[in-house]
Amino acid sequence: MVFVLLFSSAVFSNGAVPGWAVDAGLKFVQNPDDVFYNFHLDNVDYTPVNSDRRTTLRTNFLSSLIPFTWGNLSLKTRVISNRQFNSWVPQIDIVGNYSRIIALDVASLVVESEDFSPPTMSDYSVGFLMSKPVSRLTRLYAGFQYSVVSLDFEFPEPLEITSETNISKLQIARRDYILITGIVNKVREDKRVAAYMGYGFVYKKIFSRFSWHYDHLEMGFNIYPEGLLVIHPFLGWHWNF
Amino acid sequence: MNIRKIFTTVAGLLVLLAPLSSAQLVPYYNYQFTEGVSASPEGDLGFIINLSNDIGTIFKPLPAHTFIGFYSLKYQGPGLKRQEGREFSERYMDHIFVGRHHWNIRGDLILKTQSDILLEGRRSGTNETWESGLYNFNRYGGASYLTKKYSKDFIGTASFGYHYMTFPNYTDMLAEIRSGADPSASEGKQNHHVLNQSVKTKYKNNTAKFSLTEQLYSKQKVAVDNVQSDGTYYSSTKQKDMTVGLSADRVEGLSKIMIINPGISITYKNSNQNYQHFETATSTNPVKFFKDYYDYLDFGLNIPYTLMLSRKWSFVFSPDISYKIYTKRQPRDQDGNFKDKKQSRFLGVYTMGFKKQIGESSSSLMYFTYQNQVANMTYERYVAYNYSAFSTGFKFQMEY
Repeated sequence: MVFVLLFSSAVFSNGAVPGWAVDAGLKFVQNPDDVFYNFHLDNVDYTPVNSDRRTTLRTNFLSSLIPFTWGNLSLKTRVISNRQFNSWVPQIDIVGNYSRIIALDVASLVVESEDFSPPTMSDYSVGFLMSKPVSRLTRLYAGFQYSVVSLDFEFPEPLEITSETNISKLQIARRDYILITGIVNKVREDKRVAAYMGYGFVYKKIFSRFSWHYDHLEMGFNIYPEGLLVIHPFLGWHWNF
Repeated sequence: MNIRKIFTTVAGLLVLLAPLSSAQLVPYYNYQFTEGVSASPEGDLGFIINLSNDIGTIFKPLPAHTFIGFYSLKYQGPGLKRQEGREFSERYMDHIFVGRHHWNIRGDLILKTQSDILLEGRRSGTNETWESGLYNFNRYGGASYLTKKYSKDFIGTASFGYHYMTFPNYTDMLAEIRSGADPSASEGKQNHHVLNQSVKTKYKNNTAKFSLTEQLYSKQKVAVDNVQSDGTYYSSTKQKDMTVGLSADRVEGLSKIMIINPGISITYKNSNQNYQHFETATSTNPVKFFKDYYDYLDFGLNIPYTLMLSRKWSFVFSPDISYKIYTKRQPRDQDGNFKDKKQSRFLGVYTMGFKKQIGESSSSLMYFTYQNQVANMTYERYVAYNYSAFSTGFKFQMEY
C-alpha cells in the first residue's frame, strides 16, 4: 500500500504524499527490502499438493494483484507419492512461484519521459515440500525454498516524505533460504485448515500463515512479526489437477 | 578380512538390528499463534504477538527404549502495529533443540534423559540486530528424570539438571558510564551455571513438587559497602543465587462438564548479591548499601476452571494471584526516598476465555484478561509498580 501510494504519487501526480502516509512512508524507507519481501512471501504457496491430486496452480489476488497489480502464479507438482518405494517415503512436491508488478511493466511501456528509467524486477521462488500423513485427516509437512525479490526503480523526481527525508530510487535485493514446517487438517470433504511457520536463514526472519482452503478459494492471514504490516490478510484461488 | 568374517559381521548386525524392523516412528507438531492487545487505564495500547512452532519425532526402536528429537522455534514481540523507534518494545526469538531418551527399566521404573540447546536472540532496542542483542544468550545442558510407580495411584519422580548459560554480547553499561571501565572487564559477567533438582509426587489427582535451583556465576562478583584494593565496590566472592520452590495442585472433576484445578506455590529466592545505591547513573559514590537486596518470598494461588459448553465449545476461567515480599529490600516513596518497610506487591491476573475445537487438530481461543498490581513501592519514574490493565486476544492452535 505504501509503495503503491509512493509510486502513484511520483508517476501520476506532482509527488505530494498525503500526511497520513508520512509515518508509514518513513517506516517503509527504513527497510523497503523487508516490505517487498513480505509481499513476495504472500504470493508463495507453502502447502503440499493434495494427496489425491497431481498438480496445483495457485494465484494470490488479495493483497497482491489487488491493489498492487502484483500478478503471481505458483505451481506445485507431486513427483513422489507417499509410501511410493517404502512405507517411510513421504510425498515430495516440487514448487515454484513467479511474479511481476504489472503496473511497473505498464509504466515501462507507457511512460516515455527521458527522466524515467524502465524498472527491472525479479521475483521468484523454487523449492520442494515433503509431507506425510499422520492420521486419516491430518498431514505434517516440511520444505525448503530459495526465494528472491529484486527491484531497481528510479523515481522521475525525488519523492519528499518529510523535509529531511526523500526517496529518489528503490533498489531492492533480497535472497533467502526458507525452511517451512506446517500442518494440514481436512475438516470437511471440501475444506482444509493449514498452518505453517517459516524461517529465513540469511535474514533470521520468522513468518507464518494460517489459512482455510476450499475447492478453489483459499483465505487466511500471513503474519510477519517484524514487518511494517504485521498481519496481511489474503485471498487466493487455486486449481487442482 | 576374509569372506567368513564379513558374513559373520553382517549376520551379527542383522541379528542386533532385527528388532528395529518393527520400530515405530511417530511425528509430532504443534503450531500456536496468539495476537493480543492490552489497554492501560490511561488508554495506552500495547500489542503482543506470540508464534510458536514445535516439530518432533518419537522413535521407538525397542520396547524399552524411546528416542525423541524435538525442535522448537518461538517468537514473542509486539504485534499488529510494528513498534520501532521510541515506541520500541522488546522482542525475542528462541531456537530450542532437544534430544531425549526414555528407558523403561522395569514396568515401574522409567529413566528419562535429555540434552538440550537453547539459542535466544533478544532485541531490546532499535539499534540491536538479532545477532547483536545485549541480552542474547545460549543455554547448553541436560537433565535426567527417574520415575517410580509405587502403585497405580502413587508416582514419584526425582530429577537433576545442569545447564550453562552464556551471554556473548553482554556488557555492564552502567559500570562503563560510572567508571569508564574497559568493556572487556564486563565480558562474561552474566555467564553462569544452573543446577536444578526436584522431587515430584503424584497421588491420584494430587501433585506436589519441591524444587531447588542454584545459579553459580562464573565472573560476577558480589558488591560490598567499602572500596576494595582494586578501587571497586566488588569483593572477590562470586555471585550465587538459590531458588527453592514448593507447589501443589489438585485436579477435581466437579461434574462431567466441569473441571477445577486449584494450585498453590511458595518460592524463596536467596542471593549473596548486595546492592549499592547511587543517586544517578553517572555518580561514582554510592550513598547507601543494602545487604541481601534480591532475596524474596513469593506466595501464589491459582484456580483454573473449565466448563464444557458443548462438544466443540468450552469456557475457561483462571484467577491467578500472588504476593511477593522482599526480606530486606525497602520500598521507595514518590521522590525516591527509601521507606522503613519491606518492599511488597500483590498481583492478580484474571483470565477468561472461550475455546473452540475445530476438527481433530485445530482449536481457537478468545480470551480476556484483567491484571492488577498493588505495591508499597511508589517510585515509578522508570517502572510502574501500581497499575491495572486489560488485555484481550485471539489464539489459534494446530497440533498433532
